[in-house]
Amino acid sequence: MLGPAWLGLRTLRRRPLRTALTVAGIAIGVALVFAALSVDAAASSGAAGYAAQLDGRADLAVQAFGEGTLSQATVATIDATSGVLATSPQVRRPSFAWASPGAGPGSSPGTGATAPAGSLAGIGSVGSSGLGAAAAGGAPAASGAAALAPVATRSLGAVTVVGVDPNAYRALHDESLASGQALSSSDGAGVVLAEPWAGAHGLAVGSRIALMGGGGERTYVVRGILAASGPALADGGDLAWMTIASARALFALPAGSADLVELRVDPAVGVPAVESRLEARLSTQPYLLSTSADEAAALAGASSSLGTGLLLVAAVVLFVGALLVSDALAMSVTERTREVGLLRAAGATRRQVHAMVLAEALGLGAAGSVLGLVVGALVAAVLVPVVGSVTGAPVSGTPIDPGSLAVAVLLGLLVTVVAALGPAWRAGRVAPVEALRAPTRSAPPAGLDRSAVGGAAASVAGTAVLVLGGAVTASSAQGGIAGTAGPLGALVEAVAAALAILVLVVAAGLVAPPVLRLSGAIVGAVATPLRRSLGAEVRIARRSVAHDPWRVSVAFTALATGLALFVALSGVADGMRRAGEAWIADVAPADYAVVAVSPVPDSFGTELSAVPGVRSVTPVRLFDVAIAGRRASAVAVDPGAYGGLGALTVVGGGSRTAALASLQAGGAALVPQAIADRFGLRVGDSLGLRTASGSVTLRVAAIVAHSLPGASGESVVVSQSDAARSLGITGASMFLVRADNPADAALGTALSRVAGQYALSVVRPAAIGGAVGGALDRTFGLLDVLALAGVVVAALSMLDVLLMDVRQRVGELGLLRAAGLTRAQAWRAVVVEAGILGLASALVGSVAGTAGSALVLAAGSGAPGFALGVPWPAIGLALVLGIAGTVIAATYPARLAARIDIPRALRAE
Amino acid sequence: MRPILEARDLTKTYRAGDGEVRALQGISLAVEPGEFVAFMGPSGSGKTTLLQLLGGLDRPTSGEVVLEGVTISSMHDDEATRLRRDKTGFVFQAFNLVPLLSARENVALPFLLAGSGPGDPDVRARVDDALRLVDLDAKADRRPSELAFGEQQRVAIARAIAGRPAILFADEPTGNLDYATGIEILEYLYRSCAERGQTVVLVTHDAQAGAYADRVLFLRDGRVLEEIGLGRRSEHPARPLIERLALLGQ
Repeated sequence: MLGPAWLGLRTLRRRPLRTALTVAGIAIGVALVFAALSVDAAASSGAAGYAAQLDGRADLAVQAFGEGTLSQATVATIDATSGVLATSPQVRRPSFAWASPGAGPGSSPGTGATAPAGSLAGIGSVGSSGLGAAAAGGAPAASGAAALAPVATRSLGAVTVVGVDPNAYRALHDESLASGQALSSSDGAGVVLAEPWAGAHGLAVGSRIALMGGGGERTYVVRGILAASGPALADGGDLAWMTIASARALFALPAGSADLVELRVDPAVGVPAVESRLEARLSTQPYLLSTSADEAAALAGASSSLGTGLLLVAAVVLFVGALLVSDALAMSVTERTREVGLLRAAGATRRQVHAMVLAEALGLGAAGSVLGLVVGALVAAVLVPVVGSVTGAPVSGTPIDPGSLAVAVLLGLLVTVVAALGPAWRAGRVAPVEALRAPTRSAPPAGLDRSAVGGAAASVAGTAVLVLGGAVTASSAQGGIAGTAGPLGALVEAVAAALAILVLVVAAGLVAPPVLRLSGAIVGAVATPLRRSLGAEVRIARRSVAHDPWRVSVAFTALATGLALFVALSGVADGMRRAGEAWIADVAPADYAVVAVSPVPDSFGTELSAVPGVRSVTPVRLFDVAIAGRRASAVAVDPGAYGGLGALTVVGGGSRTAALASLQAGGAALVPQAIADRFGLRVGDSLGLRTASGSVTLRVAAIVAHSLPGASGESVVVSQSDAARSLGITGASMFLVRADNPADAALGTALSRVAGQYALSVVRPAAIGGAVGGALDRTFGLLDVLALAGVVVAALSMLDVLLMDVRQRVGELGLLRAAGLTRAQAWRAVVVEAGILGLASALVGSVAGTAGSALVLAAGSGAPGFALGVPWPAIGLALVLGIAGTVIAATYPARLAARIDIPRALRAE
Repeated sequence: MRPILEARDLTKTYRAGDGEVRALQGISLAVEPGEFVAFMGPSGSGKTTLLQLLGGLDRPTSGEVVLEGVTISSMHDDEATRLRRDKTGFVFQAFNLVPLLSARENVALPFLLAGSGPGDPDVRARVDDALRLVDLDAKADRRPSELAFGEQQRVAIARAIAGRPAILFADEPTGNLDYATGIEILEYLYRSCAERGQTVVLVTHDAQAGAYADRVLFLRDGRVLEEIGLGRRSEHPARPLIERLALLGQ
């Protein structure tokens, strides 16, 4: 029984190059699957660890809605809820900081040249809260606009101010003091900084910093620095702690109020019970409840979706590797037809022959999997930090995860064995008389005959199902994968993906002959000007390719699949980038956007208007609202000015002019498609908006394609007057600036100078698009690299096929050489044949990839505006890659062809 | 007359396992233009090796081969290939047709390899002429698999002579054929020599085939054992084939 199986393993040694190629193909696939699973595991554990550090001993947090606060009564209610063991009320708000040399800001010399003239300068010259409140002009403090102070000293940028009751806070969090002392409850002028931020700005214990809040600007002394662990990891470490009383004064918040309350729950009662008790008791104010598990899931989401992408790409690469195995074994069986016949004649059963081929496959699979694990661990070690930097999510953990290891090895072995089923079946069908039959010239050039194609197709289909099923189940087993709705969803996705691949494979097999002919014709046409020198080679190559398309169909499919993946990824990335840019151009049609950390008075716009070269300045105000109890974003605009920029595309509810007129008239809102879909809104419906300061019911005047993105996605567009009158929202969070000359680079500098003095930052909307595009490029770049690994595997497959091809055609090549084919011509004939194969694969891959990206974009875009297009650069690159990859793969077989020993080749006939 | 082909003290040694096989042990000969020469000898006598060296398919271990005054044995492979393409034609025992090409395309192969288009009128004329000589002009568009063995070998002859080579080399051209078909092939080879002045070098172990030659060289153990001049068949019409065979010692 064992004999034939051992023969199978010995076969691997007989063709060391083919064995090496096949092992490399599997190894690349296994390596990528292992790396993707490891990255996923690292992302989940990293996110869980990060969330645990941030949350400390807090189980639950009650957060004020939007820019509102939790009142003293609410805080007391939370504290008094049964099952709550400890609470820590906190103020947590963004601020802007300056290093303060000691004297009040604005009084130091040398700022006169840049200090803005007029009343604003006067306001800023005093670092107190009283004037700031006056500037807000009676608007409710929580959502009012902050005063502006010209900055005299070094800007430290944005920082999150955390106001805490030090004792209550320390009951939930472990602070680790790096220097100085901890915050004391009675300290009204001290802050404690997180080490990363302090270090970045050269601040130490005893330094003085000025912070800006809704109550104006105040100066604090640094008492201590916290090491970068626990709560000091939040917001990238840009944190400043002070007493909650100081924070309320800085942001002009009512006494006893808080932005959030962290609480510890009696384990005997449990988090869910406390959650429902809180929901029953907190009825007077809008709030959000979050658990540590929620936070961990949200953190893991970003890297997990990338992890899923990596895994799917890795699975396709493994699939391409499986094609390589199937092809290599099919060739091996074909070459050994006589030997198999001999074994059968000597008494080997079919089952033993099957065992022989499967043993060969297992040998390949085992070697490939082991090598793949080593390579995969290295790839994971490189990928883990890259994924962290691409997604901005915390990723940590050892690259070697036992679960991932097991899944990757099992997948590698299973895929190899399933890929071997077709060739094994075929070997079993070899009749004993094959051994007695002399190898005659009339025997078809042994490639894949049609009966073998059935077996191969079955192997391929099985492999596809296995790979994708395995990949998706593995990824959902890792937990928390965004976008897969439970095991059923995963199964459906796996089946759909496997079906898609099966369709591609069958289609590729069917289109192979005509596409190969077409490619041959193209190469012929290209070579026509060179006919004198290349004519013979091109003709030989074309004949050879057209003669038996089945022979190359598996390698052809492999390469087409790899290239299709590459083109599809590029197509999706392009589509998303175009959509992003179109969106930005639609909702922020300006040359510059001047953005505020917290809202500023509209009047600041006049400061900006005064900058030479500015044509217009349009203030907009983004804010949080509740729609039907759910959090959403809204934006208050001056309909005339904002509409005048050409912003907004109406997709439902009449003309754009009419929509803007309704907005101007009041009582109306424009709803972006995404919000309309989310809340089931149609034109003419009533839309209730609520903020901490008021509520209003507006009529949906029109549906727009997109609007400015706020904290919770796209925003409902309302008029400034409605926002101020009914919702207590005033001021501006952003100014859209139009330039006289958009190309004028000096204007950006001038705007930055003015904006910087008021803690505002200047961005170019195009740059936002660019940044979005950059992030997409990094993410998709990573996936592209993996897709290229698939192309490499496919090129290995091509190398294998071409080697086989040259070996089979030794006699023919010998004859051609005898008849006057030069070595160079023989070399070129093989290379041209490879070029035709590469071109054909690239053509099919480009078409399939473009179709695939169009499907993904169409399926993924709930809202219109997703621009479908042909990713020409990617197709161009796929053509180059396909042809270059195959041609490079062909150089060795071509060398063999050129160096054929003519007398021996003729004898072999 | 200057010989069209000369061999000067040719040796060829193959490595076989640990030892060496001395296939040729110093052969010198000359072939005159228009001559029909046959090499005869038992298996392993070195006749096929000699033909491959003379035709430039392989290189001698020592000695030289001079084709039309050019020393082919010391040429770079590409030059030798070009010379082979332009000056020689080969017919093999196993026909050695390209299965993917039609009979006409197989005949046109040397021109194609030289860079001529298949549509070139001069090429077409030569190919048609060669096919006519072997009486296959009616089956020119068939693939080798659609032709009888004898017909396949006639295609090979047509290919070998289409380029009007200086020398036609034939290595056991009748070895795979039955008696009648073999005679037919020999007649075609003889025709090319007699009607067109084609120089022919034939390797055979069959006296029947050797009897068509003007001159026969007997080889054994890599040496020329004996040389017998039979004379041109057409110039000795009275001498029947049987007599020629008798001359060969049969």
